[in-house]
Amino acid sequence: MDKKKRRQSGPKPVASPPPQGDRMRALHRATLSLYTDLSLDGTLRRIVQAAKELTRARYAALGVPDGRGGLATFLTEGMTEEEIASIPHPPVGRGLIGEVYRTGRSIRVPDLTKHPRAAGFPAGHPGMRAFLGVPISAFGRPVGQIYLTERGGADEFSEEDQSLIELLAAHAAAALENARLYRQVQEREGELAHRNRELELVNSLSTAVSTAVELEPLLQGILDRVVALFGAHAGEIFLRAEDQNEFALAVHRGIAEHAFWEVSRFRTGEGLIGQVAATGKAMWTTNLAQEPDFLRRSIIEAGLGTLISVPLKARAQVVGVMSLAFQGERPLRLEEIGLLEAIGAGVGVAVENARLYRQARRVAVLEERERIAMDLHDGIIQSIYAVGLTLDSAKLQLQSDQRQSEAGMAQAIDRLNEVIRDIRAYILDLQPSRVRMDDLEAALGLLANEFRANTMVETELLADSSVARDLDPAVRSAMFHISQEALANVAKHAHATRVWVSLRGEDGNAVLQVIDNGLGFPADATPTLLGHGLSNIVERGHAVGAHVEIVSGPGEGTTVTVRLPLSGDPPLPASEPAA
Amino acid sequence: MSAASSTPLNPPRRSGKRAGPPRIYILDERDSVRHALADRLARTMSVVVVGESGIASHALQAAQEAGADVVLVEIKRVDGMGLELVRRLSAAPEPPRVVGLTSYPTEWEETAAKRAGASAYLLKDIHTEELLQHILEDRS
Repeated sequence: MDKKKRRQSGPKPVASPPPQGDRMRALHRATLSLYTDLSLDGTLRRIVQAAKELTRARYAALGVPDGRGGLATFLTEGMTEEEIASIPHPPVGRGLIGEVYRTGRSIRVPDLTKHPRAAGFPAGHPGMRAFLGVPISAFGRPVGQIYLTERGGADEFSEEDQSLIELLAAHAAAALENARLYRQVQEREGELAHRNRELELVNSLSTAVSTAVELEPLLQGILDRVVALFGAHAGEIFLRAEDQNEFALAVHRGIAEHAFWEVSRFRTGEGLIGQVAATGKAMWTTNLAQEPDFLRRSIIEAGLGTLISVPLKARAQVVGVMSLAFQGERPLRLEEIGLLEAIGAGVGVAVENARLYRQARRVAVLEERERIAMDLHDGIIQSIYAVGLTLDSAKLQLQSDQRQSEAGMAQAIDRLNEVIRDIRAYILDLQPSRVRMDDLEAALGLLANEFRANTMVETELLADSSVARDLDPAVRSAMFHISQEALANVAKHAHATRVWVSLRGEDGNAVLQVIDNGLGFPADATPTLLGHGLSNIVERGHAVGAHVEIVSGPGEGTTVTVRLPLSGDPPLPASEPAA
Repeated sequence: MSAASSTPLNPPRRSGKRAGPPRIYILDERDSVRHALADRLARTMSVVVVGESGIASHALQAAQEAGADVVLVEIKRVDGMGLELVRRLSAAPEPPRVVGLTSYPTEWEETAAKRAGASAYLLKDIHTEELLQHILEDRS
């Protein structure tokens, strides 16, 4: 702070003398402060402030060149708000400001208006005379310039001032480089995170493609992730329809759902979607309203201005079209388009996969049905064959033993009737053998239906589900077979017009009853006369610990009752005597 | 009206051609078919039914013990043993003639049956005379 500064004239010395004591300490403090802020803007601000304080300049500024002769940034310290407001534009890099940049050397003058290179000030600019401009260079290239004007406490800037600011500039270069590198790292990190998400998406795609899953949830999941990754406002997927020349909307995500579903079909070549389908190439626009090929006005009205559509391909065939839509104008980068096309290929394979899987399953079901049909037809042929042989034998018997022949023919007729019932049951899809025994209620239902279909007798089933569920498997099977036998008896002998089958709980017992209003049979009729059916019923019932009762009388119909306790205790006998 | 049981009626000859009418064994899972066929065949004098069974393991031995000349086999079985039975019957020492008799034909089954040793693959049509003709022809 030499107050007795004399005006310097003549050429300046090549090497400036090093600054002394206090000022060095001040410089140290200033340079340290430069490194505390990692942000670029913060560092620039600190450089300007440090330079101003060190030299007691009234005005300080820092310019960062844009590489084209102009300034990318121009920071100032010392000007008031009004002064800044009254200047029409920041410096454009002419005059002394540009000179420091061009020469890469410091310029120090007592009155800059007198410098041959001065370009002058715009109107409203505060007057400035003493000037010090110092370049900031890193690795030999200029990264900025420090400008100081109006030295406080002196008429001009001293050699010492220049040395100080040149030292500051050297540190500033390092600090700026630091800040730049830090910003690059941050940007790279952001890029890496984005790349990671892209890779994740492609990865999950290949997993989904290789597993046979339901197509719609798969497409919804994929579209969700693609929309999220690109920050789109809406997405859609069209799939080729059964009519090979049409594409139908399958999935939509995001905004304007109604607008997207308004027109949900396109023929190949029709509209933007149709053209992508026809050419197998991606298409995009950032101005949907001006796009003549885009036919869905309601989507434009929903505010969506940018659209990109990519084909979904499998083995070079287009199986669908996927699109992303953005509000307004959203520029699309080439690598984004490339990524979407790659995703489209993956989704295409997933779609084709699902279709082939569905086809395979349909074939499997058809094959299974055919196998069952062949089994059934085989059985029916066998039955008819046996009957035919019996008739053949009866024919031979006719001459020798007429009664035997008659019995043989009667048997043949019975068997043919059985065959007819089998075929009928197959046609009406009533196969008791196919019923699962763990649902006794359903099994009894099937029995009742089959009986009704074969006899045209009014049949009523009343089954208590909770009782049915309570029975153990052996009992369920016995109940089922007993019902089957009882109904077969009714069909053969009873000539009934109404039949009831009931399964209910009563006094802690499970009770099964088959009741008909037919001919009945005399109480003293022996089982052999009636066929084995009834004795079978009794046997089956006793085998599972149930009490069996068959009550009948001529012209009074028949009631078969099977009773067994639900808790496992021995059965309680009924109040009426057994038949 | 049940058919002959599986005890042999005539003891088998050990060498050369057997004398007398061809001895038939019926191997079919379906009771009704077996009984009806045995009954029908029993009414002709030209063949003798020496046994019938639906159970695979039992039939192999019984047919041999009965000295069957011809075994009528329904290839289609719930236990899937049809072709295997043909094979084993044909592989026995002094094997009987094995005739496949089935409800409906398939090409692969016919080929497989013949390869397994069946001398014929016939359909279950109610033409007993034709069946008998087939059995009686080519007894060697």
